[in-house]
Amino acid sequence: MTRTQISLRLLHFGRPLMTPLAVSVTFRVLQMCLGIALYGVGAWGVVHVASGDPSVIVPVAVAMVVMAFAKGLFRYVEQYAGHYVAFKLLAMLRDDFYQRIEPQAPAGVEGTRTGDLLARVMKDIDRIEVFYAHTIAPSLAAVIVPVISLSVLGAGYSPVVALVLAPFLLGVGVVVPWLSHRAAATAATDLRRARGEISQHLTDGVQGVREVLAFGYGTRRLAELEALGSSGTSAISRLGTLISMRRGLNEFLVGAGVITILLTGWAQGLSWQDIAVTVAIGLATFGPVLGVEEFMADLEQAFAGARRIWEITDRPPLVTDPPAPEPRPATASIGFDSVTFAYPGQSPPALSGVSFTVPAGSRYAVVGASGSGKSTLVSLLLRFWEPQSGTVCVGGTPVDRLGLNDLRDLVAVVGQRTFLFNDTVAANLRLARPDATQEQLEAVCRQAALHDTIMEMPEGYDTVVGEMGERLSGGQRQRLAIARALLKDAPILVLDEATSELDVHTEAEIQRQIDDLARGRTLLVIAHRLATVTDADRILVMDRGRLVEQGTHRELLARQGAYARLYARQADDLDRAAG
Amino acid sequence: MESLMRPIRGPVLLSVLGTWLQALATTALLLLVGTAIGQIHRGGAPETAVIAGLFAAAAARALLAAAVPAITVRAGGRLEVGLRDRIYRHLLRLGAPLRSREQTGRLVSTGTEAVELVSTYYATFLGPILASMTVPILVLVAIGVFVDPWTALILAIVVPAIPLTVGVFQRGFAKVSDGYRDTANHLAARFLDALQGLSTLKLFNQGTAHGRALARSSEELRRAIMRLLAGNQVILFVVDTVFSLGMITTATVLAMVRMREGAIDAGEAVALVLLTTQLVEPLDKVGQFFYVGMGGAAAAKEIRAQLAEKPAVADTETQAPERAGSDVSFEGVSFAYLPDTPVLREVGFTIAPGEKVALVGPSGSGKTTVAALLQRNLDPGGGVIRVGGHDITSVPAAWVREQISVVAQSTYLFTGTLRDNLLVAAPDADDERLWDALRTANLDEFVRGLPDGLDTPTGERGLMLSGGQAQRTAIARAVLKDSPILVLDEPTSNVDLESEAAILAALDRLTVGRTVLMIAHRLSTVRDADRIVVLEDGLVTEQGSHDELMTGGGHYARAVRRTEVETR
Repeated sequence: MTRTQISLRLLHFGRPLMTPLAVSVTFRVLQMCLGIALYGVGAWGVVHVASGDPSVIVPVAVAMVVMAFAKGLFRYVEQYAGHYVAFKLLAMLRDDFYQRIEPQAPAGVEGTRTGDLLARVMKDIDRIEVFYAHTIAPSLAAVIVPVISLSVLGAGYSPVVALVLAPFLLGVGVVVPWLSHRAAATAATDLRRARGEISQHLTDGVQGVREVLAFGYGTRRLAELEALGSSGTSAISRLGTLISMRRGLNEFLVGAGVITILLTGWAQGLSWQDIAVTVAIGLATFGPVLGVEEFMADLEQAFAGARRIWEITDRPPLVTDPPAPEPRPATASIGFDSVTFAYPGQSPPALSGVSFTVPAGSRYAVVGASGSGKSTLVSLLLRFWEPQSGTVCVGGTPVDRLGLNDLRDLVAVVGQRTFLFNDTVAANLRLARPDATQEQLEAVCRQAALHDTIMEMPEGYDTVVGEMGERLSGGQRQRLAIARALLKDAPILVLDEATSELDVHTEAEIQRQIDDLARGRTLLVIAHRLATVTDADRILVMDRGRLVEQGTHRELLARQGAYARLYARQADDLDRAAG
Repeated sequence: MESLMRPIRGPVLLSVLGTWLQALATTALLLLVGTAIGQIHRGGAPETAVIAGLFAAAAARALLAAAVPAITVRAGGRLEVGLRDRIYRHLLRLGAPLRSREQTGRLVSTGTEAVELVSTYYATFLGPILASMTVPILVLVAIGVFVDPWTALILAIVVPAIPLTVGVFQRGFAKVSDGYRDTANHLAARFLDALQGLSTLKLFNQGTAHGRALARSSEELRRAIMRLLAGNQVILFVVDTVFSLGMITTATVLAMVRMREGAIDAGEAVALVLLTTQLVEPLDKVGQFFYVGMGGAAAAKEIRAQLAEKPAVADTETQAPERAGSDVSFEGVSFAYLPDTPVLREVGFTIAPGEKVALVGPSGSGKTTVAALLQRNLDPGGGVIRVGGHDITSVPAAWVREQISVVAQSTYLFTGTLRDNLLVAAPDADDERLWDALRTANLDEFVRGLPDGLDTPTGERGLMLSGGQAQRTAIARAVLKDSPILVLDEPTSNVDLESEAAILAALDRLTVGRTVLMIAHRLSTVRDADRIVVLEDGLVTEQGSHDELMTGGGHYARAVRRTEVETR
């Protein structure tokens, strides 16, 4: 996208705020004009006294005091309106982002680097806001104010002086920033790239510090870091030269401009009083124009931020509602038929030709080493992603023929990581059922062995759990997730290593509760500890994306195949056996 | 601690000088403009000397304005490199503690963003801003000398009154300012929270509902912010009015009055009016100073805090020993992470060169701590650990680490190519040696199958290795490093079945001829060790070969019998 296209799109987005923006610009222009006028009036007063008219001292002083107060007032209005625009736009940008990314979730948002992505999103939105809040008004003012000033000079004093001053103002306000900006573009890109490489190198150096120390790699790393640093410093040097030339040129233009007004006025035969006033006005007019270079850099950042944000929001969602959704199925069975799926950009498929059926009301387990594809089954069941081939069915209906809302209502999941909002325990539970009563909350918490723990907390169910639930222990978070899933009361319950953080006793207690509740529901347990699922109706064994065996615990052990080896591996565990 | 700014003290002082000289040149320019106007007033033409002076002043001003950033920006670049070096060097001295993703992220941010901010702050900003703030003094002196001492004196009283007034008002509005910033941060945190929980929300079909609730609460917060701002912005009103009043109006009135008294002539009076720009501009920067300054100061604090962290292990500066065997011994070693909870109690055992010893025991019994102590990631509270006969606290940690290779449950791949990652272990190895190592590690077939082979890119955007492949890479590295002592930390606990066989075979080859400490849970791996050391609750309760221990009735025998029951 070109800069013009980005600007137009951003302006179009900010249309609803045209009025407060106009207010901000107007008062900025007024305030700046008053600033210039103060110098003009001051010079006028001085030359009048010099011409032998001391009576003007008091009126001039009074006028200037009034103008000073007015200027302050106008500045206040300008800033308030400006902030109004800024915060309103910030809210609009965030709301817009949320609305566009919500349909893309979960797939568009999941991933190992979600944290970095979101941090960047927040920063980029702030940068876009700067476009509206700190760029539009200053740039308009930088054009309008000098025009007014030149008009006053031309009409009130001498058109020639105005004409002669104009190119200097143009130079400072337009030519120098534009030239330096283009020249700086390559240096800025180089610097960004160097900084990106440095950041990557440093991240490696921190995350892999154990390996760095173990292999005596430290000296080499420092040398590499320095080398990367020097490509950064050469870009910085180039930028420094450009900044230096820009400043020098600007300051020269200001000085030369003032001298030119003086000499032109004298050559034109203006009175010395007029020369004094025009010089004062001319000098003061450079003020607003010099501010242009400050927001040029912000503008670049805003454009870059806008590009990145739109890259994300303009993506169509990977998964959408079918045009004519079928009604909710009557039964809660699960069926996978020759499903093959690979995550985008990953080569060996996460699932290959997987087929199985989980009858409604049964209790199945999925086991396998990490990376075998167990959790991918859950993602496809919930239609986070579309498989490359094969069908996933619930109650006999393919999931891509069900409405997404209906599908998600049918399945309650407790995953490996629990997300909790920075809100109360009750609010987090009510995510599953917004109109749940307190009794219902307490009931599920008892089933999840959590009620007593909550009652021991200072505010009980109204205790705030902290960002990402950080005020709770890992085990408490998991139990809350289980309680939440139970509250949802869905016909299919999926537990994906949901008790991994719990000690053996709590795990066993919850297992018992879940067994009771699961009666009548379809239960799918993805387990790491094989010992917890030996009494499942059937066990599905995954290895590297394939379903290699299925059967009951006894059948599978007797087969002496993959399951038996997995089981032996865990049983082989001296710690667990002794524990 | 050495000041962060020290390396660029010279350039900073130069930038201060440059800024002052630039201000003096501007003052000279404006004084000369006044003089020229005065000459025109007296009915003549401006003198050639004056005109020449004008151009000279303008040129000097431009050159100085160019010189300052030329010096400071480069100095900032150099400071960045220096600070990053210092930070990473310190990080290496801190060793390898367990760090969460957030901690890693923060460390990297300190080394990148904070460093950039501090460099910009100290190099390009601090000098010129401090100079700018003192420029009014220079200008007033010039006014006193070249125009009129009384005006200069009165203005000298007014000038400091301005920042004082502003300061008083700012203090008065401090609570409002804080409230405003807190509310803005609160808004941001809620938004981030919603984004992070989006997947969970979708699963509960609460995506759109939450979006509406978020928009409502955001609107409430926004209104609160605007109310706070209405109050906060009064400072701006005061500042602006006081500046314009205090400076321009006062200077103009003084100029008019002094002219009426005949103390100054017309040209000087005009110069006074023009010179107020030099008084106002710098004072305006006071606000900028606090705003940008806070960011820079905070970043500097962050860096200093990082550099102040003490390493867990105090390294020595002694020479590396010339000759050493490959035996390992723990003699009465005790260790506790926290004062009241000892993790190891007088642990003692030896591993003779070439011996294979397995360390077993219930989780939490201190096995991982033993490995950490051996690699000198931690220092024992009591007792001595020897490698090759040398007390490891009296030799350089780097030497100890050179003697030991670790194959654990994960290994880190740096951004680069597969070859780069193998060369980490042996920088001088040629491709033939690399392929040998891959063969020993049972990884050669896999690498040959990759389209780019050894040149395959690795790291965040590169090759994603499965658990089993990562383990084998660790083994390949261990082969290349070729150190006499090997620590195996349960390397097959979580890999797919096929990888497991390959890994076990590779380990068999790797351990030949080396002294091995194996931390193990699996009976099948432990059984073949020369000796088994059982660690229970921080104490060594029994030692011996598998057969020897099975004749007794200790923990090991019991655990083994229990696994046999399970597999039936």
